[in-house]
Amino acid sequence: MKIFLFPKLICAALALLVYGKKGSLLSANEHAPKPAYAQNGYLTFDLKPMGSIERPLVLRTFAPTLGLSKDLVLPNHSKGLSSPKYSPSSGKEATKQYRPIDGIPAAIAVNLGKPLSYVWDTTECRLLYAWTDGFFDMKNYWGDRNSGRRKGFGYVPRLHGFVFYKALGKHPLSINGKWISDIGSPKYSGYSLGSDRLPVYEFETGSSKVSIKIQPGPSTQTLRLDFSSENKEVLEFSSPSTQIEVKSKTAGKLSIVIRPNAGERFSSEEKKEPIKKPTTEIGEKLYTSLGCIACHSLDGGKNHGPTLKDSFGSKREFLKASSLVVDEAYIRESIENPMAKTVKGYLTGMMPPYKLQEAEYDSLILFIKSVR
Amino acid sequence: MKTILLLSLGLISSGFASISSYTIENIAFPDDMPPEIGGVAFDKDGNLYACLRRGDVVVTKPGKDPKSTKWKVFATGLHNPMGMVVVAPGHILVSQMAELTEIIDTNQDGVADRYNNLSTDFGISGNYHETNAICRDGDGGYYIALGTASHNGPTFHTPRGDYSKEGRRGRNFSSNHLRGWVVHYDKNGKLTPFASGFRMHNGITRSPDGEVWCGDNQGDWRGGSPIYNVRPGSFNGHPSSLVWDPDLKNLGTPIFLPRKMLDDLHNQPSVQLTRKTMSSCGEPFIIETENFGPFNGQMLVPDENGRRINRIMMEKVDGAWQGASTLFLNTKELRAGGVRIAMDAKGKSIYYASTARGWQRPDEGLQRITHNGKTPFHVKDFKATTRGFKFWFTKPVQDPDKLAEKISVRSFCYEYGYRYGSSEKDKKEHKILNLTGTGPFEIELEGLEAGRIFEIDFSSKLLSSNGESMNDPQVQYTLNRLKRPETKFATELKQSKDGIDVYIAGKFFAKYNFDKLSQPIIWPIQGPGNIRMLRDYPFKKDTSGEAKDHPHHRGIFIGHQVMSGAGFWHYQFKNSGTVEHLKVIESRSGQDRALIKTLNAWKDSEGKTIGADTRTMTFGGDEIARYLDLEINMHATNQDIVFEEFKDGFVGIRTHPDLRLTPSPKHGVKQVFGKARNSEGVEGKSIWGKRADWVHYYGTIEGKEAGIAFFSHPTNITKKAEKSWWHARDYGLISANPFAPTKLGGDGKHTIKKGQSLKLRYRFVFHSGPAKDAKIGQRFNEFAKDAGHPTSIMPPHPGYPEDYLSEQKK
Repeated sequence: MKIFLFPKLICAALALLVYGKKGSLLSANEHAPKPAYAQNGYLTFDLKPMGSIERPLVLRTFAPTLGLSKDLVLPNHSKGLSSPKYSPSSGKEATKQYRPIDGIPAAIAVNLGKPLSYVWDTTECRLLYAWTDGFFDMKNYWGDRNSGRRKGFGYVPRLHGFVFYKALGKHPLSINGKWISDIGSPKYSGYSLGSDRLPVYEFETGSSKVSIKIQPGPSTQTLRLDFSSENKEVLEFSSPSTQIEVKSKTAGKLSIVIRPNAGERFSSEEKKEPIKKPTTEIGEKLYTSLGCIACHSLDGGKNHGPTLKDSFGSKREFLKASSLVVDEAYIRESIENPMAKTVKGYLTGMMPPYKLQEAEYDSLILFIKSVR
Repeated sequence: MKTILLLSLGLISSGFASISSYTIENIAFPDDMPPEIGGVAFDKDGNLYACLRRGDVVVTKPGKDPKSTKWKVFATGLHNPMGMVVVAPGHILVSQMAELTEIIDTNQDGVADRYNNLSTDFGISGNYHETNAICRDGDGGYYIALGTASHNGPTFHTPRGDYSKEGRRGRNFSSNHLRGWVVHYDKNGKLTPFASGFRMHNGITRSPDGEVWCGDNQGDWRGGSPIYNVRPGSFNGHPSSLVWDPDLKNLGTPIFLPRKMLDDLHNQPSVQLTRKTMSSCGEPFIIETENFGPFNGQMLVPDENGRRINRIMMEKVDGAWQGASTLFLNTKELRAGGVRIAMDAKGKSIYYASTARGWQRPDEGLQRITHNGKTPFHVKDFKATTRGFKFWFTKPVQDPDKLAEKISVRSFCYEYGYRYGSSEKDKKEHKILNLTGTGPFEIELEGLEAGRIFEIDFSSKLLSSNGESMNDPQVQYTLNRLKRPETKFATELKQSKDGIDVYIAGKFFAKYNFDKLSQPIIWPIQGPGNIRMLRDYPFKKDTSGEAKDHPHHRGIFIGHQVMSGAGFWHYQFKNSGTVEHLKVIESRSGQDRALIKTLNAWKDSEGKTIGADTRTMTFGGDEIARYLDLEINMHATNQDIVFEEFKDGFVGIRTHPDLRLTPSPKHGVKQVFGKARNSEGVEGKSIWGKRADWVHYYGTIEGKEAGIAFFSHPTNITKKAEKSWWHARDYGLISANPFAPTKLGGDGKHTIKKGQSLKLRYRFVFHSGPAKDAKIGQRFNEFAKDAGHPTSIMPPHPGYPEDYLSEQKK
């Protein structure tokens, strides 16, 4: 497996030289190794895939909401609500609630390398946000190669890089003087890829058919948007607190450059502090974040793996190994090396090994002991 | 090299011998390409497309050497695609998480350049579990399987598609529009709901005869891992998706509906695969060739968690598909995570795709399984007979006359309910009473019963004539329905807009009316010899010789005078409620008996739903009689249902005036010809208000000898195990009443607690000829012995929410 290390971040001055029309690319990173996708044209085990100007990476995935206004920017989505927690074993509901999380369900994310990443949404048919110097960390969704589990309760990739544009306000496009938010819910039709492999999106609203192409603008942290209306309608673009430069406007066509209206840096690294003292609470958090919750119930319910309820101190029988009483050493072994013993009635090889900090193993052991 | 190794291992160890007719090769992928395959399909030029879950669609032309497989990228940018269909070279359809997408290489340069949104008319919550699969519908459209969400993941503040608070509850849930359904995308692009009740139907297939099949994963509301024959409008067991069924919208939160009601709605799985052979079903695959072994027409099902593939032998019995399962391949050489199978044009090889990322330790990739021409020794086909089973082996066996010693049969039930999986309930051993044949063979079993899973074990000493033993020599048969016996009195149903007509031996018997009335009514009824059995009034107002009293006595009708404040015996009063027909759950005919099963909502005078019923009516006949069975289950869906103690109720019939005991000249009934008796020897008018197993009115109708008997099943609810109380009048009204006033000797008030159900079973016998020839007592004994329709609910069931196990512990 080839692993490409990302080059250092380019400073703005060099970036100005880099971003010209495709084909006249002067690059300070000409000799840096290309990210795997840009090289191969296929996604690899790389959890931070990146494309390039020559080979944009189109990724469809859940996307972060990034604090966008639900009323103004996401009006065509529905509203998720809290819901009572449920015990599958007893069929009863608890007073605790599941709460919704932030995420965009049906967006398209595109990356052209460090110069530009953006997310365009198919439910709202508009650009949601754009950033430089990174794309998505897919660990939450794709997990790691060996364990395969998504890392975390949610499934939303983490954005890394510098966000310079965010959708503010209602849909910014107007057709013959009428705002799309007044014409009615836009309906996404699809996209085409030209020879530059950049998507050109199409959507319908009312009786209009509009297409949109999104590219890097003339300088770093700018965007170029080209709109086209099939019925040659007059198109206009307006976004609050955003500087727009109209490059050309003809019957049925509009090209604009958008200047930055945001400035937020995101890192995908979770600050991993070493755990000082193992506790049951830490163990309980790990039970969720490592994904144990997917197969090991807390309430005696059946699943792919044995329930944790009353497991500590119980007699356990195995497919091949001789039976034993569940103790701390066994729990430790079954997390670090689950293939060593398989409990009778379950399939071997389903659980991946977990390499953790010592204090994390100890916290999990404390938590498992507490599940009665 | 690996193939030779595998074959030689096959001769040594029986664990590997399952592959001695099939060889397994690993198809290579680049080391850095995650081969997490969500769908795999050939085009007509022999190119194999694979959609990978991270987003790419790759293509190859498989060659002889699997290690030198070269993949090209055809398309990209797909969100966890778990379904793919190839329309033509360079033109595919993919069901990704948020969209049904058409992908076309319009300029034919080998790379797709056009991505069309065919449909986003379904909800998506943001939960990781909501993947989708597709198959063709045979008419230019597709069926899409939309998986539910799991409580092991969240939903978004901003999902897409209508959100339902009630659908969000439970372990696996349907918070957004149509999750848990199979939907139909027609050739014009319109998406409509097709069938509900799925949990994670990871794969959908259409067989050449046009039937649609889904597996479902192990999980809540599933006993094992089921295979469903997806019938239009059917409910397939997992209640959460019922929030999107408009017929049930007033009946309360689906996961807390009375379990017997869900059981009656449940389109029982054609095959229940048990944990012994299946962890979770991947997509069923139908073998359509003779080149892949002796199993043409049968179904293969991969296991998402186990290193095995099941083989299903499906047949149609009494109107529904059911069948036998056995292991086809069970070897460590197979990857776990089996999800999809595609067959090449020659039909000698299948391509078996695996992915398990997200639900177990990853085991990803593509394997080619090729038939080497050697017929495996195993059960070739396995069918139900009226007394047991009939089966064929792929080869002649040694000592066929000693076969019975080498077979053992047991059976058990799976319990249907909210729990994740069911253990084996009510286990029984079955003696083989008789074995005939030398190939095929037929076994007659003791205790053959419908509604059970039969497990047939063949001994390892059972050898083919050339000395082979069977690998995994076990067959499981999901006996939902018994094969019906031959009959001279075949039934037929004809459905029209307002009802269903029942015919027996070509002659009209009864009509079930469910439109434009305050409740469904059975009227008219013609007995053998075309004798009219019921009063025509109020349906026909001009038939002579009929008294026009009690206009609410209509044919066979059901309702109690007061239920939770609303009246259902009458229809014409201010407090009168209505019983609204919601749907025909199933109807079947052609055999010795016809069956109609319906779902109905009970509403008070203001239209508020107070409960529901599921009722199953069966119809059949012989030379001198026609019978009509009614099993009615009352369900307290929205609240407690209180039956107040009144004499007027619950299941009633108004007979032809000739069977009255007393005339009424001033009402136009001059002469009557009826006598009455009950099972306890009481005669005449005195049978009113007395307890009995049955009542019988007999005499002549329009000059011909005839009679009507009304049976109450011994299991019907009464106080202290007494017999039913009868509101059996002398002027043509007969009703069985479980809620009659105690001061009249009845059972009194009764409450069905919210979440519970009440079952009542009755039989009407309409006969020609004299009373003694009708042999009513004997007919009653047969009815009493009849176990009734099988159910997956293990009695007793306490209220909401239920906890069967804790009740047992007491």
